[in-house]
Amino acid sequence: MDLDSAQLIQDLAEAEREREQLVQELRHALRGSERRFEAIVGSLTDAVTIRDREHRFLYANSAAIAHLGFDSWEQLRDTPPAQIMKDYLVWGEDGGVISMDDIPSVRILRGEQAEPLLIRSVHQDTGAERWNLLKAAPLLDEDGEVEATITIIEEVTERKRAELRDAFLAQASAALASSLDYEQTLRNVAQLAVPGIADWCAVDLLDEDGDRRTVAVAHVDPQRLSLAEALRGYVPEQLDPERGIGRVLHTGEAVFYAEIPDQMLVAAALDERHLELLRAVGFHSALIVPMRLGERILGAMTLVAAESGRALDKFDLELSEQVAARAAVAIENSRLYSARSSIARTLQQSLLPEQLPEITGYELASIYLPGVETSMVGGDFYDVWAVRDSWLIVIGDVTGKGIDAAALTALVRHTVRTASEFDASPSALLEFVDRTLKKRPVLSVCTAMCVRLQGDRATLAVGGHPLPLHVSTEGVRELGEHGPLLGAFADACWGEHEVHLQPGATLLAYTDGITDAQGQGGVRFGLGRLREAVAELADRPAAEVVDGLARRLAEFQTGAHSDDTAAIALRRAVAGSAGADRAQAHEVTRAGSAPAMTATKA
Amino acid sequence: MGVEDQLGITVRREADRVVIDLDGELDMASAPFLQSALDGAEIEPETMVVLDLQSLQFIDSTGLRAILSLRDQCRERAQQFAVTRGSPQVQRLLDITGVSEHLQTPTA
Repeated sequence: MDLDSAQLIQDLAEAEREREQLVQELRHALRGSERRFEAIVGSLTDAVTIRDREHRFLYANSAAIAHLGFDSWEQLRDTPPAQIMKDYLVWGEDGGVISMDDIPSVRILRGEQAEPLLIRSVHQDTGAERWNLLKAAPLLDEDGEVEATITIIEEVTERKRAELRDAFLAQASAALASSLDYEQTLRNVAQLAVPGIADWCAVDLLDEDGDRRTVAVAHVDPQRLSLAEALRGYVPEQLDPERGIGRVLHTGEAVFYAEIPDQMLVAAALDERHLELLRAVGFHSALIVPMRLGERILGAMTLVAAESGRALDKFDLELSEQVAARAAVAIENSRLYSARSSIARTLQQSLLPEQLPEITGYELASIYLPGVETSMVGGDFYDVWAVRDSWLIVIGDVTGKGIDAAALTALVRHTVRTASEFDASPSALLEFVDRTLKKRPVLSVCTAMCVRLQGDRATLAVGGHPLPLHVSTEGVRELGEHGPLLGAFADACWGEHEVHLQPGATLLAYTDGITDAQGQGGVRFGLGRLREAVAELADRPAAEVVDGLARRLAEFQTGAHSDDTAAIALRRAVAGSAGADRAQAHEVTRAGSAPAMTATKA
Repeated sequence: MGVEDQLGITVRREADRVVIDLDGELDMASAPFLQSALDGAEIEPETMVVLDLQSLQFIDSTGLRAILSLRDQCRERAQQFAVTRGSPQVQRLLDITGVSEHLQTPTA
């Protein structure tokens, strides 16, 4: 035996003796009270340990012995400290791995202050998950040196889980409320559930035809997701309405499997491979809750506890039901919104003339660009119709959006058409609409510009609306005079203005969506640009005028327009042109709100 | 930029009137705030309510409607309602729609 080895053995022996001495001294110090100490500490449900300077156990109560996975004090005492936690994977609250250096008692030995440490441990074999709060304090000798450390290990698994549940509920609710894209929010919710609430979370949706679709599957380890993929291949076309998700979707009631013994997997497996996959998941416990609105079942949410070994309990079931309820509402809201949008679009289309009529000797063209809020029915309207010897054109803007505005628009169009049977003069028409609006119980206002065409004579009246433009090769000028809004003021009256349209001259009526359109830096399109744009198109056919205007607007605009935009061009056909003999009607109506528009011919 | 940033509303009480000062843009997004301001101002009957538009930069049809609605509410509460002139682009719309002609302008 060489000198070094001998020395080593000597040191070990010394250390052993010192340790024994320390234990004796502790015992001595606790002499008499030793029994009391044991009586108090020994039976605590919290684990209490005392360790020496080398971090070896001097004392452990029975709770600690059990907590650390030993059968007896002797076993624990004789195991080197480094060996003790080797069966566990340990993480901190933030998911970071915890090593021995982080343990409070070890930090105290290094001379540091050590705050309580919350750790999550998972046993590598059983997969059992636990949360513990470690609190340590130094035991000082007469010189104030740290002689030993005492640690209390508090089992907080239930408390921590409750916290995680509350957090999940709050986060999931926020996620569901954050966007109308419910498939994405459901995916986010599933992701939030793992691993805090369960090891797996999946969401299935039922569409109107009753077809089931899995929209989300989450596991904290993305590699495990391939297992889920493989298992999907085993889902039958027709789900068993008695079991599992089939049952939930059929009955609208939750199913809860607190424990999933192997026999259950065997019974569920369709073949060997299937059974292999099921076992590979490591099912421990599962629950499936319906996403339901009253009687209607929109889908289901599944939670599976697997490798963490935890058992889902009634709190998890309650939590899942709460989240599933919110999910159902989110899905419904989103679907309603889409439905409303399509209803609104349909309504909107019905508020415009189905087709522009043909006016002999004239070209007629229009553009209509709905505002960007697709659920809101816009307030702009226009109409063109014949009454006896006249053609009437009206364009206007019902203030407000939504279904109410749509109803108001319908009222105004109907009123003005009916009134024109009796008196087709534009100022009389505006007066009639004004009176009709004022009879309504709520404030109902609109702008309107009305033109009556008799031969080449155009008579117009303007109520709170931009003045129409007269466009010819001689220039661009505004026509008429401003009159008040309709439905707003007592003593309102409107004058009329007459103009004779020469061949090739265009009358352009528009709504403020055009002049209000915003471009770079928030600058508005404005009347100036509008005049410029139409001046360039002065001798072009009506269709080209509106298309050109639409293009100019698109080039100018940044972002989608929030307000409706409409314009209508009436051009007296030039003799000998294609339009002179037969009227041309051209309209451009764009559904949707794509800001980058390309002109399309009707 | 939030809607709150687009419309600034200040309510000040003067001897014989309450002045609601608007700054920024009164449009579809911000018009509801004007209503809230009126609701919150707790103005007694017989007081004049003046809407000061001098710092208002933009107004659209929804904004106009909000102003008219304020007018109606003041009428119901036996309060006088007046509207000042606005910036050029705002005044333009007030003129076009007849609001400036048909609504009272505040004295002094």
